[in-house]
This record gives sequence, C-alpha cells and structure tokens, in this order.
Amino acid sequence: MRIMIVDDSKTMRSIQKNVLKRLGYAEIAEACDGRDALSQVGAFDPHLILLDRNMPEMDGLAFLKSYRGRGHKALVIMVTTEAEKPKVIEALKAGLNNYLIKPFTPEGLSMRIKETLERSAAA
Amino acid sequence: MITRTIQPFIEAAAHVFQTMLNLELRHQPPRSIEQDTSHHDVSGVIGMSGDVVGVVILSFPADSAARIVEAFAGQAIPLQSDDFADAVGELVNIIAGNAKSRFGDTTVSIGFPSVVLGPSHKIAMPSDAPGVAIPFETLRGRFTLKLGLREAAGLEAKSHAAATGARS
Repeated sequence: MRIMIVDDSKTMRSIQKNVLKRLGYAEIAEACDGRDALSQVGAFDPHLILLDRNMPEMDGLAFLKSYRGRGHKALVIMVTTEAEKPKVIEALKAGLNNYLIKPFTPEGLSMRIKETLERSAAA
Repeated sequence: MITRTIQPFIEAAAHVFQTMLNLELRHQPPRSIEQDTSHHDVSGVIGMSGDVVGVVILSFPADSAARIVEAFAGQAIPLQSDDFADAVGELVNIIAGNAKSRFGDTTVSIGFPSVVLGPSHKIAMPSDAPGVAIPFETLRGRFTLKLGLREAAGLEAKSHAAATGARS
C-alpha cells in the first residue's frame, strides 16, 4: 500500500512515517503542503493520504477539494489540531474519509488507519 | 487576560506532553509578567486571532529543549538546526490548537509558528493584553508557557448569553 504524508512540519512527517514503518508500510511519500502533494500524486498514486489542515501555500482543505475535483479516489485522513465540529463537517463534505486530532498516540494513528481501510473495504 | 483562557492551556500542555512525549507535567501557579520580559534560550511563538487575540510562547532553557525535543521527535536533533526549530514550532502549534478547542463556543484561528533562539531573548508581547507565565516541570526538563491573550470585543456578551441561555 502506498501512503502519502502531507504536513508542513518535517517533525510531524517523521513521527507519522516512523509509525507507518512499524506497521509494515514501506511505500511512503512525503509532501510539505498541498501544492507539493498535488505535484506528486500523479506519479506516486497513493492508496491513502494523511493530510494536515493548516499549511502555507495550499492548505489541507484546498488540496482535498482540488484532489477530489481531479477525480482521485485515495482514502484521505485529516491529521490536524482543528477539532471544531464545523471544520470537521466542512472537510467531510469535501470528500474526507476520516479525521484524527493532534496530539495522537502511535496506537491512535494505527487504529484510525485500520478503521478507515475497514470502512472502505465494507463499502 | 481572562482567567478562563489560562486553564485550557494548562490542560492542553498536559495532554500534548502525555500523549506525544509520554511525559507527565507539573505546573506552578500562573503569574503576571511584563510585556518586555526575557525568555529562556529557545521559544516557539504562535499567534491567535478571532474571538481570542494575542500570542502564545513556549519557552525552554537550551538543555531542557534538547531533551524535550528528543522525546517529541524520537531522536536527538542539533539545537541550531532547522529540524530543531521545526519540532519546537510544531509543539507550540499542537498545544495552541488543542487549547483553542477547549475554549468553548468561540471562533479562534491560529497562525503559523516561528521559533526564536538565543539566551534571554525578548519577544514583544501585545500591549493590550496582560501577560501570564505558567512554569512547567517534566522529568526531561522545564519550560514556561507564556500567554499574552485578550478576548475580542463581543465575546464577553456572547459568553454571557450562552451562560444564561439567552438566544441571539
């Protein structure tokens, strides 16, 4: 499974990447904002995207709208500090599959990925 | 500084450190600080706007910053590197984001973090918001959370309406 991590913080990308590696995922790409992610999704063709919301250049919501607008179907989990319900609903309407609030534990990230994949398989 | 914006930061810091660094926090009582107060050696700074306006500063002595960043990032990072600043910035970003989710019925945005390095540096605090410092201790060192925040005009009435069940 190919997974893309989109976050403007290199530290946060590294934390998530380490969790993914421990879970056995080896094909991982990183992007530092939405624009960088859009430039990579064509070639990398991710199955799952872990997406920060607040980023310079292009934020997570703008990326998500553009990504879905281009017909891409990868599962997207927003990993963000933005826990307010209206923002969650806004992202779900834009095509988000799941949500994970920072701070999170490795177990929390693992469970959210598993839950998202299971939901997708059952659909 | 309205007292009800302090407790969310104490709770957010404890939650973030417990969840992502596996560290328990102990804190001393909040105290007032001057606008031109000196900070420790490393500070992460982030702005807030909306119903709560001002600045949040997470300030560490250098040795504490090194050990706490190591716990956060999962590896030692050189103090003067971009990666170190990134880690400190992300830490203050997550604490501020978590705190604002605890404010209740408010609309607050946070900016992008910046990081200041240097012994006893100074960072301008807002002149229209009283400053508050909350010292914390962990097994990996100490830090101080400094808040220069005020509630925007209209929030007091909004909070009162919510508390009394009034409809607008």
